[in-house]
Amino acid sequence: MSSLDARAERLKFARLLQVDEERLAFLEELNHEDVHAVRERVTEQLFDQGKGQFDNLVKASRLVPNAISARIAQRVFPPLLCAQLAGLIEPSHAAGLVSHFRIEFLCDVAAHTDPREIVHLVEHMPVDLLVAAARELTARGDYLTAGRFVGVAPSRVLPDLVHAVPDPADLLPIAFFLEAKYRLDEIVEVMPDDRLSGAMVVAAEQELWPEALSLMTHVGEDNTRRVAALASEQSEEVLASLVRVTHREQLWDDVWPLVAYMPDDRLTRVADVPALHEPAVLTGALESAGRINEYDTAVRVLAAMGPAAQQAVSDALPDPDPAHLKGLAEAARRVGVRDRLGVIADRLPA
Amino acid sequence: MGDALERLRAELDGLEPHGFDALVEEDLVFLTDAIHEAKRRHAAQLAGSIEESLGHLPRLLRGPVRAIMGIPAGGGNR
Repeated sequence: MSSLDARAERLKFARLLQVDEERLAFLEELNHEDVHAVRERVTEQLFDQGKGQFDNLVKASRLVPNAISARIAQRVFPPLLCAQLAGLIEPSHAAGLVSHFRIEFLCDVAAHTDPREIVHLVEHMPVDLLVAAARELTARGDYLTAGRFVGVAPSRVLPDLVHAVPDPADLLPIAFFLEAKYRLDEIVEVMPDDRLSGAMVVAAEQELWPEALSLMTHVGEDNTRRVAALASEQSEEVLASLVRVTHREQLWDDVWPLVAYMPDDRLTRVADVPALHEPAVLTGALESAGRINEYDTAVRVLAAMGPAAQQAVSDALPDPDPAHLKGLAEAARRVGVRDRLGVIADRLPA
Repeated sequence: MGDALERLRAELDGLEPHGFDALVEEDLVFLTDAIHEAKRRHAAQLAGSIEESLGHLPRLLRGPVRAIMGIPAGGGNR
């Protein structure tokens, strides 16, 4: 199970319930799909309250031109009420109506709109308006709502939306909150290499690795290969930050599959990052590798280390779990790197 | 524990919260209370929004508009 998915689910649930996100830490012990099902039910219950109460108002809105309805709505209705109505009227009509809102008011309404209805609105909204909304929501730091727009935007609009959010410090949290994780592959697809690389630098500078990894580990094989290659080219500072945060936030289950795609000739740069050779870090990494069956990748990393790093690893494993040693020994044989493990090979069973 | 899980199930209108039986009672109670409070707050905010909207109308018109919209006196869907 991805710990990133569990974390995103917890944060979204905390926002929905308006409680401190730390207070829902216990949800990360559960399967994130089970938590998602409960959150979906609560979303339905919240947004279905009061449905049917506004039938007359909805009917009336059809009789008045959109521009006039929008002007009245902005003057008279608070955003929450507009959002409730937007979810009740026909999507093309609702999109026509909100298109006449000031962008600030539109974003106020969007923040209160039933997430299930946003897809219908977005389908009918002009590209310029979507881009303006993405910019405004980003400027407000309302990444959750921005993520709802981006997550359901038609593919033809996605490049414009991604380019509307040039700072990775904004784009990464938006991607993190995206409900439809399969869209992340499309997002990475429209990001050129320098932008992806820049996102990793920002992730290191601002410790946004959970957000960055969420973007980079929900992509298809081609983009995983591209992301992995770009990650392996990062500076030692960036890689050290990745290792540090991965250890602290227990994200190895998400990171190993990415490391698996790093080319052998660039693995040395990652393998020689000193932070990786600390005992606690190594233990956490190896436990994860065993848990998610990534011993093959782990031995590739160990084999890519220089002699000094291999010595550090050997020293750092004073009393390793025999299961790890057995798993690593079998993987070393399978991958054919036992002769490149240096002093580490002496610690493995024959 | 059984009671806490049953309360959560009831708060979810009968949806089976798969896997949630792994939580300790204190956490189940906190979650159930938070869901209940979120629903109450949302309904209250919606009712407040309706009243705020009506407040923009001349006082004499509020009763008829309330009747047309089907909103009971004193608020919306509490």
